[in-house]
Amino acid sequence: MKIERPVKVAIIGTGCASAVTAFELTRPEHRGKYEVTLYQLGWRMGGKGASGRGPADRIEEHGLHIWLGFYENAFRLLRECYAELGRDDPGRRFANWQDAFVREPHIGVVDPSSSGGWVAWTSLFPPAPGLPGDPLTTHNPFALSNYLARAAALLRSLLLGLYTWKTEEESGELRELSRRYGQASGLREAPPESIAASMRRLLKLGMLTTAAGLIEALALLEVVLKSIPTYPENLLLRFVEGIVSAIRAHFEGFVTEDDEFRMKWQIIDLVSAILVGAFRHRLLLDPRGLDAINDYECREWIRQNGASESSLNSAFMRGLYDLALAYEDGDPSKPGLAAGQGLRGAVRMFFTYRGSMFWKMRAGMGDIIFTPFYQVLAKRGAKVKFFHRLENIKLADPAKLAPGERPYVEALEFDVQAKIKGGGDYNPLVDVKGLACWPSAPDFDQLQDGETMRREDWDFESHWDRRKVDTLTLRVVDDFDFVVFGASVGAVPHTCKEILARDARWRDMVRHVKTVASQAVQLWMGEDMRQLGWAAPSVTLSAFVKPFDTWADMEHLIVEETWPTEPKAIAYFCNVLADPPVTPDHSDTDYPARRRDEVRRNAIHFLNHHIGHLWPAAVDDNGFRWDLLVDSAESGRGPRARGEARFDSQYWRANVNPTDRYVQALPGTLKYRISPLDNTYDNLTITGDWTDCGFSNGCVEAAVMSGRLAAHAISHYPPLEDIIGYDHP
Amino acid sequence: MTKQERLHRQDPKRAEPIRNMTGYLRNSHSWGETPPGEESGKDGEGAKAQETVDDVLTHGVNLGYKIIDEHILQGRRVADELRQHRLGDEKGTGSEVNALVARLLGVTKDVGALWLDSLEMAVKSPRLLTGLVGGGRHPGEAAAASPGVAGGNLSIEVASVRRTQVTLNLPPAPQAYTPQVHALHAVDPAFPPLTGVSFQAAAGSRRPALLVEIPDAQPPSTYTGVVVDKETNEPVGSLVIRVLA
Repeated sequence: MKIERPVKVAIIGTGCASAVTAFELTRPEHRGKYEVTLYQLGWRMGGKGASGRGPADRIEEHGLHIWLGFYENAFRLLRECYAELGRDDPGRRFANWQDAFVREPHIGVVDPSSSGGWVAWTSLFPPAPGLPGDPLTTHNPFALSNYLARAAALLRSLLLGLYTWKTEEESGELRELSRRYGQASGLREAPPESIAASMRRLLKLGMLTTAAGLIEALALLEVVLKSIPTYPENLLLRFVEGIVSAIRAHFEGFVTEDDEFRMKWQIIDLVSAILVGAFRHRLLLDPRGLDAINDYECREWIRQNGASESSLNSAFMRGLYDLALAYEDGDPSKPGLAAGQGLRGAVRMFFTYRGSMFWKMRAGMGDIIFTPFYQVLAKRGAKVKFFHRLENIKLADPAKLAPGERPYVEALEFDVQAKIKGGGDYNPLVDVKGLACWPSAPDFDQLQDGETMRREDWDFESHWDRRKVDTLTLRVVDDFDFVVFGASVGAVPHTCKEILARDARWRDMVRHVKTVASQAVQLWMGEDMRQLGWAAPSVTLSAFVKPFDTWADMEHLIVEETWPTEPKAIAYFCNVLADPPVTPDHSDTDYPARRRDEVRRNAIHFLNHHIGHLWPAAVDDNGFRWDLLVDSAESGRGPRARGEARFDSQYWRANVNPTDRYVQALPGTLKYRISPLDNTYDNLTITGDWTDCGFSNGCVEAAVMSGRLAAHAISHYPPLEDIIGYDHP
Repeated sequence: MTKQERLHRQDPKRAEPIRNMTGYLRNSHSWGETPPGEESGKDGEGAKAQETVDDVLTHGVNLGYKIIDEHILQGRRVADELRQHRLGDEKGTGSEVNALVARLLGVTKDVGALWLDSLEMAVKSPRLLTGLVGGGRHPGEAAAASPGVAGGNLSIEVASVRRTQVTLNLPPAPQAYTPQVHALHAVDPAFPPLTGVSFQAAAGSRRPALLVEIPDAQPPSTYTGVVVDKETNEPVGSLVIRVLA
């Protein structure tokens, strides 16, 4: 049947995934085939990525949002979005996407020092060629053998460094080794039989006990990894195990209090274990790729393959888990990360970034990401219906389905939280220094009975505030043809009851695909980082004390805010927030406030007792110097508050709403995710970083990949091969 | 509105990612994206690459991959043209398609040779030989004299139930050497290597012959390998065997 009318698509939510689905479906190439409407509770786009502007136009985020240099899909679409806007208005602020980001090459982790206190190990990661989102010119950019070859090369470099450090009298021989094996390896042109013979020779004659033998072996391994099928598997495994045993024999017993040596050794230990594990589990030949080990917990898998406890508890492992908020139920004693996805994330992050490893936004995520998408979608004719909270996805009666007909969504039931005066559309954006931004509170002046809502403090984004002014039911064919559910897995139990009642896969999904609450703090201070005692360059640092183990220096945002007295430093902190034994339902309306108070107490304790390790000049004998904090309401009139009470002028939040919870990649759970390509309900697809999208981690890139998959599910575009990293080991 | 007007999603071609990457080739073209090679990233840092074996090989490999990408793209164009074939325009479309197909076959034949030429160039470059391991002799050094190839005629014997094309590239050498060929491999590692390939004295003759034996169950593909000097194991040429369907 030829369809003349536009295909109506209703998208629930406006986070990254939903916005991208809308962006893909409204491409000019589709020639208006899809009529897209997004439904969003509250007043702003963005979901977990939404940001606002508060007092002094200060940026107020859900947490810390940093884009990684391997976010190929996310950057690519954002660049297209900016280009589309730039064509229409080249004079706008941040017309060029590169103006909207700051490269962050300075990244670090923190470890307790053997001499007491903490030592920060920071590194300036070198710029990589190209920019994220550039067209990929390699036909097969992601191969596990390439990753492992780079790991072997990394191991070789680190070992050479450690050998030199350990035994000065061998430095002459080691310099020769470094020259010979450091770059141009003459081994690649050797035929496989010759290389295999070399491996046997090294194993047989015990040559791995020598530094020279070990370095040669690693050079061989790097070559071998490029052509795995050529070599017998048992020989490869013996070879890798032989190398790793020799490495450990050389260094494990070496006692030192040198922090740098210890940290380098921990990296060697971890990489060695990963190499052994890759061969033991035959990952290079397994059609499932890294998914083959997703039932293992990442640390546990590395432990099984020989890493020491010291390495497993190193700052690097803790940093990896902190980045992924990988603590089940928000409990630091329950770290949980699926091994395959953990390794996939690590190799993508370290080996495939372009430009810079981290990219910080120059304003709030809402301003930099969601404003452009909102504007482009509006230009293309898509609509965003704010103040619409989905209450129920209603399925067609299964008794009325024709033989062979798939189940489908019959209706969508919404609570209308507010209506717009005059019946028009809500204008969500405000201007801050020429930049269109999202405010931290709705514009009540645009709302019918807005003054009453303001006085009664209606919280449109809170799961525990169910107030509404009306309801709305949308029906299939009349109002929509397809539905894209992008409201996050946390919303599923509340909005998809009928699906859960009938579909065991969905029940498994909500049981296993877990989320975690998070807490975030933002500080504005009157002294810069150097004055506070942090002498290193601006940094993003992790693996520090819980609960605020991750700190990002956000000084670059000062110019985007409008302070009467400008602060000299901005610091963001975040991490998990433990769940209570039972999360109360929405009748416990005081619950969010209690959790917010808890975060406040956590932050004050953290600042009084721990921040001094990083900012020694920020504390004195009484604890944190509260006078450092900048209060936008003071405006030169003298302090409004003293001591801890000054903390109340800062910004903090407890992300406890079901849709704000961070999606985790716990071991044994990824197989329960459902793909946006799943066609069980033939007019419903799902989208978000909680879906089976090829990169099962809570992050912008996963959300964008999922959004593109959801668009493919409806329109068969973009081609799956065009979703960078979807096809990946 | 009746139920018949309700739209249905069509099943996608696949619903899972490809995790086994060994044989995967990506089509980088979509929505007007510039074909590979025509647009470079704006790399302001641009460190100049050192000329190492790795770089030369990478370049050769990338060239090979670009040719494969172009091959696939042209193949798709051919397929699209065939799908859009219009009645009454058979003659023009047919000759154009034939030209494309002929080009594709030529490109495919050249890929293996190009790749191995890159390897050969890398090995023989004097600059790249500095610091190479092995204490082996300079490729320019003569191998011990032994009966072998020194240019001239060489016969090829093929035993196969299927049509097979053999391309042997043995540039003239200053000294005689005994050629040896290792197993030939296809791009797809799932395909078994071709091991029934060897140089032997032709029956009743002192001249060498290349013997190619293709098992009946060998999957159709292009198999490539290195011809080496048996004495020194140094590459001296290349061999491409195409087993046709």
